[in-house]
Amino acid sequence: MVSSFCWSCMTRLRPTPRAVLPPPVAAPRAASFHTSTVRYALPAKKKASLDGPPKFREAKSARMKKKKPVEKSRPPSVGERKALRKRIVLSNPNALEVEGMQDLSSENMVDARLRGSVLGLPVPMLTQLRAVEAFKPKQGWSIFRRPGTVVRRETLELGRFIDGISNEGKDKGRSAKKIVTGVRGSGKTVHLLQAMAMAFTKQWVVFTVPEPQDLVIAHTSYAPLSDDTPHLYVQNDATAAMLSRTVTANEQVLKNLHISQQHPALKSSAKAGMTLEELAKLGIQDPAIAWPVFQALWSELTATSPAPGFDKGFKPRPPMLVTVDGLSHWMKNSEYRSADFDPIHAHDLMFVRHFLSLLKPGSEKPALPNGGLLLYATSASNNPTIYSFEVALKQIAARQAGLNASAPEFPQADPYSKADKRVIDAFDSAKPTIAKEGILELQTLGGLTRDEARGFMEYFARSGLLREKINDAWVGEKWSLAGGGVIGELEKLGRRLRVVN
Amino acid sequence: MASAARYLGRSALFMARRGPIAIPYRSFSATTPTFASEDPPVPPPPREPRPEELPPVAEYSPDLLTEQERSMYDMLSPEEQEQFNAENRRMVEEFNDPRKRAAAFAEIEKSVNDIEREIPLRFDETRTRKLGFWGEEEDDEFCHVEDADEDFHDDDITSMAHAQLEVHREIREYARIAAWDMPLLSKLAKPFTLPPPTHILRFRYTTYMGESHPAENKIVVELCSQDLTPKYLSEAQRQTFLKLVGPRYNPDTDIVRMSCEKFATRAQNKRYLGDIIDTLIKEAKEGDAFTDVPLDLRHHKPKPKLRFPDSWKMTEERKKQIEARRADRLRQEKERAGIVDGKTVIADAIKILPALNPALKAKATEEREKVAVRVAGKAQKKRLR
Amino acid sequence: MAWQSPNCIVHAMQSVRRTVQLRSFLHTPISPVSLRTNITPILSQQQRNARGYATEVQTAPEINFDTFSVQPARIIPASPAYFSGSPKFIDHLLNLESVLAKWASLPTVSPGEAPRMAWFKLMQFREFVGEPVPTKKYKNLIKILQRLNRIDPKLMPFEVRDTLKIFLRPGNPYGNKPVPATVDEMGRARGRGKRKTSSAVVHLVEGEGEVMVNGKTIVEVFPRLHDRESVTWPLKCTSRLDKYNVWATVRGGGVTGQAEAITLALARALLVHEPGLQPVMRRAGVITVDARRVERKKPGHVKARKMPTWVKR
Repeated sequence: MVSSFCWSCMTRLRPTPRAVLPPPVAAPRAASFHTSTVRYALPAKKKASLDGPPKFREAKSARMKKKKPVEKSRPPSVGERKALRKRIVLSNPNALEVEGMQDLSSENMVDARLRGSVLGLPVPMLTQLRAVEAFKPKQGWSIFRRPGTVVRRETLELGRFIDGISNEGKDKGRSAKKIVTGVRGSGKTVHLLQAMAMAFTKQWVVFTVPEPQDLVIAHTSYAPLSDDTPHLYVQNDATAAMLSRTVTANEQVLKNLHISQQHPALKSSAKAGMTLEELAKLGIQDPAIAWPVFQALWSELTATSPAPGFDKGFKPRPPMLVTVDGLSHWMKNSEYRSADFDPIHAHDLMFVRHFLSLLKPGSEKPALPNGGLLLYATSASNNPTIYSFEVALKQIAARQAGLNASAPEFPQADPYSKADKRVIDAFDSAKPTIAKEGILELQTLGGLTRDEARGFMEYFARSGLLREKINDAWVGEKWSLAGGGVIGELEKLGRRLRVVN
Repeated sequence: MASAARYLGRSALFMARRGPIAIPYRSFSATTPTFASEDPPVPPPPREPRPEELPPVAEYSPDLLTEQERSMYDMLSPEEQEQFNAENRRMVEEFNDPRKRAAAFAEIEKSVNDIEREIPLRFDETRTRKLGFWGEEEDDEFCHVEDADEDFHDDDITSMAHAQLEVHREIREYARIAAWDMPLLSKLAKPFTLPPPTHILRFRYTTYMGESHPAENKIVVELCSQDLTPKYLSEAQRQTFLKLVGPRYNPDTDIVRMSCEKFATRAQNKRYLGDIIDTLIKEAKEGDAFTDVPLDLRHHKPKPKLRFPDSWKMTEERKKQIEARRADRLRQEKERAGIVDGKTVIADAIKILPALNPALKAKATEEREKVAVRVAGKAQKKRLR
Repeated sequence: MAWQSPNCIVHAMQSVRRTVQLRSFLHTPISPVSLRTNITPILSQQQRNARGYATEVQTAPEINFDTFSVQPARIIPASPAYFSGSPKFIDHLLNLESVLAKWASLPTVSPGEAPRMAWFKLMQFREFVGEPVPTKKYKNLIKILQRLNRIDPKLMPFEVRDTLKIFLRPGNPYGNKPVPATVDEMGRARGRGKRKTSSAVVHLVEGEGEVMVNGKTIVEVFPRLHDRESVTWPLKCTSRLDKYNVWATVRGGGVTGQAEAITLALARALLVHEPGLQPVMRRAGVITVDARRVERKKPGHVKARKMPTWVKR
């Protein structure tokens, strides 16, 4: 893995000798209100082409220029360009190692003193995180020596929550459901990543849907669920892919758990005494039964007690973390078509339906009976605008604020706006009746505080990326420029390499 | 001002030259002279009946008069009435007597014939002149100016000058009004009082300052829907009312506005609007409540209103809060162990890390070679043994 | 035209009077007393002349040579510059030069500190002296005036003061200054700025460095960092970025225009809070108004200035 960022580039970035640069203009006519360096090269001139209609009162001759023969090299092989696009670089050997950076562990997960500092992700966990596709290509992991995340207020709350569920205590077995929103670059995906990392340290089972869009743009195979329910569809390949993600990431946990009930849908292939890992691998090997296997795995993981006859070697199931990143793609018609060539609503896909049904409070037992966390994030960049989803989010916030659904201030969809009823109903979860289950919440991520921003920028400086004195005034300025400490913008400011004398 | 003075001067000079003359009376009336419009074309009358065929007229009596004539008749003095009656009776008598009637008609006929004989009608065809290709002989129709004097006899000023004078008269007329009549308007001024709660309708009239305009008769009525509630409608009925008025409702200001220019006069339009509102209120009370139809506000796009954040407003507490935070930050800055400086970090790293320092790098390779040599040496020794 | 009217009136009045007198002549016996009292000056002059002819010729009085020697032989103009074409102007100029030469040794102050004076504009001065004054010569006169005005106000002689007063415009053009802006009851200072076709209003209040533009955060409105830095530049160059909150409303134009309109508005609002920052901001170029606008397209041109190329056929 060769980083494009190397020492030779650094040398090139050193300021050019004075004599080479053109003399600075003595008094510029208009003041330049920015700090970026001046570009001395002239902008590339547009090619005067003979194409198109003649200009106003200009002659156009019929002489055509001959096209230069373009050298044709072989196009890159299939999948190469996509692989390059999706490549995730987690390390930059040219960046400096930050001294004294702690790794995320079950102890410092809840340490409030670490607020504002950057915690590294443990190296062994990186394979697990890669397996669940926690990293995204456009995030700036490739500029640092090793991946690390800032501990912000929301992170600490999350750590405390995960710690409480895992440890013996009154919080054991609790579950929470959260929808994470925020402006662009506010760290929603990284928040999910932090949750996954914490879940892995606490030996949870992690299910992720890193790209919900892939499920609805008709890029994977689909089939009707059964003859009885022709309007429901399963996506076997996508399910198999998710099973493989889950198995790779949670191998250690699943190896130690055994089947605890009959699975009539799987007939003979599920045998008693099988580990859950083997069960999941059935679905990976034969994608045709991936959906029943997933259902079996889910029922095994949500089991609270063994079925009669399977008592031997039953271990209590660990809590679960379920994350979905980019929810709004699931709130409209998918690109799939039914047999009558009608568009299929995303909620008719079993995969989507399963994950959305978790938001509803369970009737007898909670959606996650062994405790756990549902974290569904919205996206602000790749985001279809769906009115009914916006209303649904407003309703969640109102319900969270204690507003009754019949109150006049309760946000309602405009009756003439053709709002999608199914979307609003999907998030219309009443107060759960079971004590351990949490209400559906809306968590809005904002900007960092000044102290957190300072810790983040110090991390840049200590990695050798930022040649600045990180004092209060400088941080305050960057905090304002980043729109009140929006972390994505802070990162852009930090990684802007400048020629500093 | 100068021209006014000139006019005055001129006229004074004229008057002086002419000597003492009787000043002609000139009325300073405020009304502009109206010119009678042309009569509409009269349809050709049906063939006149012959005088013998006309039916005899009934015997005259004042009771046969029409209502208007009667009222005028009543206004006459008794002697005049007597005279009027006698005259009418004589005319009717003459008409009813066939001999006299024939004589009268014959006389009329004769006079008409005399006129025709004097000025005989001639029907000769006037040939339309054929115009040349360039149409040179054609009269320039743009030359026909109404104002131009066809034959000017030097006995008067030109009609253009008359028009100019007319303009000045008009200006003076309004100047007089402004000077003499308008101050009197202040007598009519009344202090403004809020309309009483019974007056919930606001009507808007439009005047175009004396010019005729097609929208002159338009009336607009506005009412606030909240004004209706306790007295005329209940809250539920008000909702029905709003559903009935449809896009005439502005939810931002809570105002219902409708207009009418259906009829020729303002009073009619106003009456119509009043009736419409009455009907709407009645319908909202008694008719279908439309509870199953939600209120449609699609016609109105609410304007996003930007409000200065309340938490930013400078108050005593806010001032203290800001000061406390600043002091806190200052304290933290002092307490902080060291400020991270990117440049020093890099400088330190260059001293330590061999990858960044060529000298260290050379040393490291030297050492590595040394170790390799040593290992090789050992191996040789072993082999020797 | 204005001269005509009084003339007419005069004519009219005279004719009236004449007629009156003629009538009175007709009816009443001529009496010289009544004549003299009633007739107009012109008429009376005629009468006098007529009478003068009638009287006898007298000899001239004897010449008194004692008084005669004082009188010049011919009329001498009052000003030595009488034949120069603009004598009054040259008199003023010479007078100023002599005053300057007299008081040149007095200490002066820098031009910025001298009191601001509203001298005559060129057209006004031409009217004042009633002579054609060339532009360049008047500029030289103004230079002398300014030099005299720079004499230390404490030591300014009365002579100089009175001389300068001649050249001042009537009234006090610099007297009515706008009321200095103040912060309102919410602690906000208001500033307005324009750039290209954008116009911005900024409410600046003490705070923690938050910036809101049209009710949104600055990141949402200006995705480009350059524009964000433009917006906050007045605060940055005075290192006040973490001491104020900015509430901006901006309309019209494009992204750059909006950003720089806010810059100007913000700088002006900051001047209300802290007028002492003006020199710093002047040097940073944030309170300098950029008055450039898009030049209009002209008929016959392809763009504002571009002419269509000449084509042979």
